[in-house]
Amino acid sequence: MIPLQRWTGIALLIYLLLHIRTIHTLSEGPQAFDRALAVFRHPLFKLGEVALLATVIAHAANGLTLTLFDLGYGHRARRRIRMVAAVAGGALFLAGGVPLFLGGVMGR
Amino acid sequence: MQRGGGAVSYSVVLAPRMTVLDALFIVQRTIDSTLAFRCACRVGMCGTCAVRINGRPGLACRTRPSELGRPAMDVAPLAHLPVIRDLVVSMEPFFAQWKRARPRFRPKQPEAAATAAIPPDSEFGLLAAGKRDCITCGVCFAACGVRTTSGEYLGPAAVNRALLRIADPRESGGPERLAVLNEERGGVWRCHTTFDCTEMCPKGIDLTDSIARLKRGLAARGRL
Repeated sequence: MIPLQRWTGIALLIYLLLHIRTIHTLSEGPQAFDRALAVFRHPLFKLGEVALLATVIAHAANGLTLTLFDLGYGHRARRRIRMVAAVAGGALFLAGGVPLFLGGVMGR
Repeated sequence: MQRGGGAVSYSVVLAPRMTVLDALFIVQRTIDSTLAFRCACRVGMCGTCAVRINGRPGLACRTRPSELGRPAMDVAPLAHLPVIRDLVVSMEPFFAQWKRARPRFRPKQPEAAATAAIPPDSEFGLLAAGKRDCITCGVCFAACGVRTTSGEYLGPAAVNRALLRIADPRESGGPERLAVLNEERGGVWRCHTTFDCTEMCPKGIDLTDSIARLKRGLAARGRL
């Protein structure tokens, strides 16, 4: 068993805390906020944005299929449903991840 | 094969329709008479011979090596249960959870003289038809990923049994079963809906459906 929902959920929680911490720097003035944002312009953080997108999509796609199954639908077609969720998630990731990678990490 | 904490290899010649259990008997009778494993009916009715075959729990008497797709197979004792010896495990943790789910029938009318009829096309009859064949083999318990991290989780078989008892119109013991099923650490909410139990069940019971039904039932009763 891969506890996908649990691990992606924890990762998103860590991101959310980091996000709140960054927004909080606004209360310390515009310079502090700019300094905080400058850190995120590093290519490593841009790569993290791609990973964040993957995490959000995985959490959402898996969560939707789990909700469907827990509501009692699609038990017999579970493999097909999971395949559809994986393909749709993969397509979404490519659509969003490629521009993020090219623009943020490669600087194009 | 996993024996005494280590891996031991045996070579046996098998006929096409032989089972893993047949292979174990050949090893025991011709190579190593000290090999310990358990079996009884040999036809998939008793659930005694459950082991892990190539990492997947299943009944040794219903699994053919010829269908595993490779000449070598790895046989190990069931996961999540203490090993007594070789392939023999103690079912105590499994039945401890089974008892917690209150599996015994507690009739509303214990003194009733007439036999209560359950028509096969009734709501309970239809539900029970797909869920009452559990042979308590422990395969779902060993397949369950939640049991890897939580020793308190009831496990799929116990939840399925509880569902059958709760859905039975003759039954009286609903509230205390629901309290056990609604436990934060041991109840149905721990299930991750990965279908491992359903996929491995040798009797084809949709155990995930049983768990999902109880989740919905508990949610509808405002027990979230």
